[in-house]
Amino acid sequence: MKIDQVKHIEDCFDGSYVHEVLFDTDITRTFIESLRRTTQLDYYPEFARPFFKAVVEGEFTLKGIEGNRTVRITSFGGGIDGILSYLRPILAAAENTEGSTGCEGQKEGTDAVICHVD
Amino acid sequence: MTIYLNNAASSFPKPPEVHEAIAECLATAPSHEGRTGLERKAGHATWECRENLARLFHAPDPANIVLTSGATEALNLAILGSSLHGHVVTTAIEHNSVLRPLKKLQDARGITLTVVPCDANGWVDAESIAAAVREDTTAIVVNHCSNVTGAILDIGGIARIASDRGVLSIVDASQSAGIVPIDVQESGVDLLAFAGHKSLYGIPGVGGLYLREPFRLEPLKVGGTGVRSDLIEQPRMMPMYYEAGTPNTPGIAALDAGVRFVLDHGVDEIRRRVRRLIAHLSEELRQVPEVIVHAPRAAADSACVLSLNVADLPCEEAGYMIEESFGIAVRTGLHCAPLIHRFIGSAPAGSIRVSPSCFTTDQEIDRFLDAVKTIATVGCAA
Repeated sequence: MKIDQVKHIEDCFDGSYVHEVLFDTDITRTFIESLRRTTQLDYYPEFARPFFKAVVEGEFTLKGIEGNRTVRITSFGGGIDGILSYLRPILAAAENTEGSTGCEGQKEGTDAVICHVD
Repeated sequence: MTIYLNNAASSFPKPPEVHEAIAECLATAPSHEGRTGLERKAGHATWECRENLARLFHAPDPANIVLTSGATEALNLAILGSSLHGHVVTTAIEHNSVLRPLKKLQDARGITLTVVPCDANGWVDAESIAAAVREDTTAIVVNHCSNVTGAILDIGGIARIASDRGVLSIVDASQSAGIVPIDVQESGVDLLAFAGHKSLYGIPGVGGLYLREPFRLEPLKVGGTGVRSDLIEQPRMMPMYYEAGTPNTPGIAALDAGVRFVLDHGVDEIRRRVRRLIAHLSEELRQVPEVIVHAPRAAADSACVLSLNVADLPCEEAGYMIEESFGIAVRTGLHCAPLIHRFIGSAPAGSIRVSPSCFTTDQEIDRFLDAVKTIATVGCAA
């Protein structure tokens, strides 16, 4: 997975900034689960289209939907560039993991495919 | 397919007649009342739109209806075009299209402002407004229907207070026009602004202002009107006095078709249908312990809008889940009405707003309820 585009969405009244990040492929469960190592991850596979939110307290919140190509990042204080630098190795690792295990993430109507990235 | 429950922002879908009217307008040589020789052939579409709006609002004459680019321009014309000075009364449920022009007058002319608070459901009683009127009050500016909670104010009672005290009454009917009966003569309001793209089923870019005679406003813009081109000052002919520039004829054609749709089906019938949906939403949501509903308890006291929050889940996040996970378009945040949230308990981030239209089905409402219940149970348990 690679970052294709970053769009500034809005500046919020609480001093945070919202950006939308577009990836070159769909967000997989592998990528979502890989966020768990360094963020506080909430993941809701029960939803019609699974929602996830990754938080690094005081730094940023990243949220998105499994199967979408975009995530929304709300950053506090620091710029978006630092967050993107943080994300790139995770995206690369998730891609490598999927490539090596053949894991394609969860598809609608199928059981979850658990990919261990640790 | 996305379920659209954001009709308070802009209605969707539009009646087929609206699509047809726009297509016909674009396929016909442009004409405008007073500007070309084709108007008779074209059937005076703009004038017909005024006539239908006058019928809808029970205005005495179509010339009382000024067409604008939307409710924001209409409210700017009403507020900035009036010779307001001294003191102005308004309410906590107003939209920024009222608050910002008033703030501009505060800065430019030094007017003082009293903002009358609302109750926890967004309702403001006429007595509180009467109590805020002072010797130097020149206007009362009120929202007919809150775009956050759907609460409907008694504009007749408020206009009577204004009339008795000799002050101007300005009403923002952006949310109510087309879904709440409005009789400008019976209620006695002086100026009533409306949006064309919400419950009047037109498209964005058109709205209007009803003006009670005598016309005392200064135009916000001057220029070509198609009449008395020999004059270099703005001709004082109504309603063109306030309509300088080329009109948005496709928008006006769409608005006319939308207003006809409302007149044909009847405001009461449209309201009955939407009120039933709002009552169902309100009843079901109030049974979910994690959900806080911001709306009058009785559906009869509200129009086409209801707001909610899900426990302490940020409304923007819950809205994102509703839209992206469940495919339902709603609106989250302050809804351009920054003052009301302190009173209804949704400050500082705002609320999730759901607003059906007469095209919304029971199944769509049930899908929304299922989504909120899932988020409330799963999302809040995490």
